[in-house]
Amino acid sequence: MNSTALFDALTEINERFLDLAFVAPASPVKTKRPRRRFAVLAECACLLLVAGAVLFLYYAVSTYVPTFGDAAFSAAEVADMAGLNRMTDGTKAYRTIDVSDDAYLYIEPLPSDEYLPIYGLYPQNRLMTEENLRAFADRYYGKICAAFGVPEAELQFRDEKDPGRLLALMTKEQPFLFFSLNRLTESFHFSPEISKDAASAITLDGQTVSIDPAMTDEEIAASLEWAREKLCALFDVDLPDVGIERTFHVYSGETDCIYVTFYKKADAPGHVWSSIFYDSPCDRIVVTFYFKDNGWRPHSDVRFTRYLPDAVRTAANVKRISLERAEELLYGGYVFGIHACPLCMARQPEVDFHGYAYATIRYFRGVPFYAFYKLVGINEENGIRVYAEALVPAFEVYGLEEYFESQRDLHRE
Amino acid sequence: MEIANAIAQLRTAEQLSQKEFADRLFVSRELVSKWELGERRPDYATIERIAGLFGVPIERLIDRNDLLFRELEGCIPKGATLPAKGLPALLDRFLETLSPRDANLFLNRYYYMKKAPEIAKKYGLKENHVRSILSKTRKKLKKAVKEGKL
Repeated sequence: MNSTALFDALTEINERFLDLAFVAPASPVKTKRPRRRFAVLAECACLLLVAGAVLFLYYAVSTYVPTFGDAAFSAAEVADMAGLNRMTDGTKAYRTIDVSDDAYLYIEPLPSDEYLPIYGLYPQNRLMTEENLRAFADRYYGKICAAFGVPEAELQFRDEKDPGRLLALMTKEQPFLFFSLNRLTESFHFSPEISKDAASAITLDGQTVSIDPAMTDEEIAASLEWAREKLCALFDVDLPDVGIERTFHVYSGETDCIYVTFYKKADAPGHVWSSIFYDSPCDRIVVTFYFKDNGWRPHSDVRFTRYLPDAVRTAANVKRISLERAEELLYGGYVFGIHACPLCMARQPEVDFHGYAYATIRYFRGVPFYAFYKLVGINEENGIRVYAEALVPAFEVYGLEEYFESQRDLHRE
Repeated sequence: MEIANAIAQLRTAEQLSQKEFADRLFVSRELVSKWELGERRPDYATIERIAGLFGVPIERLIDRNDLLFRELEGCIPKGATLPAKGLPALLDRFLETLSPRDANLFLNRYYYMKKAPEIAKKYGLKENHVRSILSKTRKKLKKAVKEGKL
């Protein structure tokens, strides 16, 4: 329909028009105001000062070169780099994790390395072209359609005008089949049409890819070995290892979702990432099984992600602080949280982490943290164990006091 | 934007973070944030995908029978078809021909999907004045389409 074409075309117009239209005019109603000229001058001066400060901070931060081994990073920078919540408030800054068994916390022994890498993601501009995306898609599309039993159709180019700069190819016939390219990765995603009436599963060469949530991780890995081999052959990759992550429904305690990730441990170095599926910057194939009935039936999807050459590099090697030093910070309340909602987080009851159950190293967006786990409850109905997780940077940072004070001020506002 | 609230509500009801939601749609988290803040809106195909993802009827997000679509349809002369490619660039050129105020009013209505009283309040104008400007702008757009400029 023409009106839809026009409606859609408006989403792709020059963003400067949208920015101008979005902001409210400074003074919608014209009224005579005394000393208007001076007010305007004062506003201009303020704007210049603010712009100057912003530019100074931007260049100061963007040209910042970390030194190695000492406290090169401030607490605020670390929170920013790791994408952790900014409004922390002492030991209230934790998230809760529900597990049916402690094994699903995936605690690994603390590494013996004196230095830990901080990984950086380096956007690769030169590959962001339709030509490159089509080359990526053309390499796999025919094989993919044959393997997943999907009829081939015209792949249409779609340029999403957003700060992440993502290009995508998709077909009208299969709305959940995409090839995409952003500055860091090239990806493929496929989900069979989700139905409200029947479960939908992926089939590979006519064989259904399915698992039972009651299976152990080992059983799941063994039962999907055939699918791993077929998917690796499909994408011409060697991903011999399997990572399994589960989420549990917060009320029923039933398994909500299982992510089965095929990857290469050597590429995701021996540290535990917050999620192999989500956080680890390594090539991977993820098959996700959704079990909960969220208004649609259980279904599954598959995605393949490949990092562009040079997209992931070690940004710095930082000296690991001792567990004792990390505990000092933990008990002092200098912890970082990853709760989705800052206001909910502040409302959480305070947790005393003395006598915590586990400590391990976890990476968030390439930044290593000591992660501490304290059992805070067990659901009597379903036996789900609720752990509080709090994070402390695994290396010395400066500006802790100032950072946490500023967070408390923010929270008070 | 009502669609902004609808997206945020559906996402939070499913206990998805913006990142998880963005991953499922293959867009950036920043874009999801902008949708939910009403700074940007998704296109129709994406709205369909969002509805599909949450298993809700598309009307929960957008009403295809809304006056807005009829007004947009009215901008296209009968029998005319819009070019399949390059339409956004042509719209850019069309917006350049408008005064900044008229362009802003047009986008508030047809991009941000605001209703006339809301726009009138935002710009300190009378409601009728807003409707009159929008009507004139639609006529200009129709003329541009007719003349093949769009």
